[in-house]
Amino acid sequence: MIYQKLLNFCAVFLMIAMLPNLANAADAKSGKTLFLNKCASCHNNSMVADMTGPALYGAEDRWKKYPGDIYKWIRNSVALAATGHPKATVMVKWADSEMTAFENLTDTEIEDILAYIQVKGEFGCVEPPCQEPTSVAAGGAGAKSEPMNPMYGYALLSVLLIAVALLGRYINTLTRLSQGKMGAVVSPEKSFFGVIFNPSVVKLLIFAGVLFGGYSTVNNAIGLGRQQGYQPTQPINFSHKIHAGENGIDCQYCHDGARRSKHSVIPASNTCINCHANIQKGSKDGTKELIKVYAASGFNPSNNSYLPEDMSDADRTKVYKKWLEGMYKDERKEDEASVSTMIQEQLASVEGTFNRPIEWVRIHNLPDHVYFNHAQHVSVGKVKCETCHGEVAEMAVVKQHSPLSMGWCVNCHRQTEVQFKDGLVEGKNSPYEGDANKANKYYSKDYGYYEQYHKEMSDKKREGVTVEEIGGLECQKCHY
Amino acid sequence: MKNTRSIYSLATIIAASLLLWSCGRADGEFTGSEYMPDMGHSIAYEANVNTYYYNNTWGTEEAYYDMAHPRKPVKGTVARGYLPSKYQYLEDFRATGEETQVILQEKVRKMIIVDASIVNPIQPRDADELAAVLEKGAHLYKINCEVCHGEAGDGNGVLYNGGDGKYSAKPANFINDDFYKDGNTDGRFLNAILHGKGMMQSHADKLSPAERWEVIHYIRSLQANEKGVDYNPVAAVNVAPSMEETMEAVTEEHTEEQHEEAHDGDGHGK
Repeated sequence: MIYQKLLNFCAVFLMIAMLPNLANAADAKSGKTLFLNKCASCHNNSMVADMTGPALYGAEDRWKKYPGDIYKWIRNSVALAATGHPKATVMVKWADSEMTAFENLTDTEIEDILAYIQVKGEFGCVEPPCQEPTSVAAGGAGAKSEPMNPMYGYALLSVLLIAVALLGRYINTLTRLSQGKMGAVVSPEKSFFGVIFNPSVVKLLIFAGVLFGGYSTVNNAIGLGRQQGYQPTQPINFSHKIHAGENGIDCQYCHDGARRSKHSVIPASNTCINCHANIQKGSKDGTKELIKVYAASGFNPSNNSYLPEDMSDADRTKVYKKWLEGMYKDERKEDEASVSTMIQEQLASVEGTFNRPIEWVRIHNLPDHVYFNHAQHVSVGKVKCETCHGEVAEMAVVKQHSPLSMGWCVNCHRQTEVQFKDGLVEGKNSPYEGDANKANKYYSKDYGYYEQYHKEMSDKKREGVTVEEIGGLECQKCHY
Repeated sequence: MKNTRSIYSLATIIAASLLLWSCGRADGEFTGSEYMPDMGHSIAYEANVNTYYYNNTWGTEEAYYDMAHPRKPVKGTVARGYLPSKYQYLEDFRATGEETQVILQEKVRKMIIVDASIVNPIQPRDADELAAVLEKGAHLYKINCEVCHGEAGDGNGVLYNGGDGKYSAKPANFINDDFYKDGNTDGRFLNAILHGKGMMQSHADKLSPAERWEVIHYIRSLQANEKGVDYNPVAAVNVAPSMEETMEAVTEEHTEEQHEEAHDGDGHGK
């Protein structure tokens, strides 16, 4: 009884508490549209972090001393500052670039925007209670069949062995029984060791041992010098699963060399800055890993620009300390000590790495005597990255997927058909990107090469052309 | 005698098997064992890897590292196809030491937008050439731009996702009327690619000079698509004129010809 009363009380209390929010929710919604159209290019949509323009949460409070002037400021900030308005003259110097004038915004529209700013800044969304933001998974992350646990194999094997042993025992018993019935001499019951050391069993075991030993010798010898499965720890805890998988960033955005050079290229650290100028907290590690990127590239996340090259390490540390303190303002209020230690730890982790390239550990290594060209495969052959590198978009830590052995290369060149014509011959590999059924212009008749193949195909003597047939197995192509 | 020999051969097989087993395969931090490493490891240095091997005759590991670690291109060299644009280096336009990066960026931006000599140097002559350029442009747009600016160029890529994504700055909406109006020259796009704008950073290292213009062609075609007209950059207008506009233009044929001549002149000058 008392619980029900308490529950009712709570419900009423909650409703009252939420009333003001519900009241301006309608405003905030149209404010959101306006904000996203007019303001979001420069002002952070989180409302609590600076970007090209300052964080806007609490802006109305900060302008409370000058009622109505915030409207003038939004409509034309430079004009307001020119009148000598005390707040405006200070604010106009906040950034080097001036704020765009929005002369056409009506009072209600500005009110809506301000309402949205307030609600978004306070609750992190337009209508509290907020829902967890759904991740933008690219492509269907369908249920993938897990590789079978090797334990099942061992269990099956032992069950079979036990069955064989039991069967042997039954046969033995039955034989002796029948021998007894027939009046023949009953052979003595064999002990366990008797069975094991039986010459035929010993021979069988030796044979199995030699077979297995030979197999593992050859197999391991083949594996010498190959690095399939190599999965080293990188200097930065970078996840391809988040970047290429969840965020759907194209492989070639960062590995921009793949389409135009021999190397796919480990990207320069300014590539990270292209997005992380804005996203300053990682979804997994916060600022712990990102500070390494900023330190290496010499980027100042506080004002969206690169630090001068000749800046001393001590000054750089100060810049990043200020940035970290800004990032953890709220947390610091709650737990000063642990946040300070965390900031100190993060600063210590980048000591001595300022303005230096990040030394990623290269995973895919070919021996010196092999030539491989990415552009040839990616731009001309239109081979998908995943064909050789596996599902990198699902790897938190990258692992070498393919053996990168000669047999592996040759096999693919034998089986893969190049796109001489639209469509593929059934049963052939299709490593192609995009529209897999379009002819590759590189092999087109217009270039004058491969006339014979084109003739044979038009005469129906030939179905398709493999990489091998256009010289993909010539020794000198890869070894010279 | 026969027995001993078979025991020997058996022992050899077991020993070989165990030896190779213990060599092990690559896993985790371990690169796996190798034989004849001097054939695998480059004496010449390779990109992005420190393959120092003690049989190398380069000297110490430090000496090798000094040469093999990532470095900047040699000063004063230009890679083929990467001749810098007139506005490539912000520092060329610095008037005083006081100017910050943001001020400099804004200054150069205004200069590029009004510079009439900045015209798309890739001028397809017929429909086939245009299709080829747009195909390349679309591919590069997909790799470099789409994740923020969206597939349609509406500034709503997956990273922004209508304000709910991880990226909190609104990317530019190319198919917005803002980008059609007078004064929105191709230079405006070139500037953003070269120097970035607002939160966007420079993408000059991601796209070669020719590729930048292919992407700009593609963005213009997206705009034309949005307006429901054919993209026709051969005419001296950015977006192909509608039927009514063409009719109007025919009446002023003479002035149009002059205009095109002037435009051609610019093209050669570039």
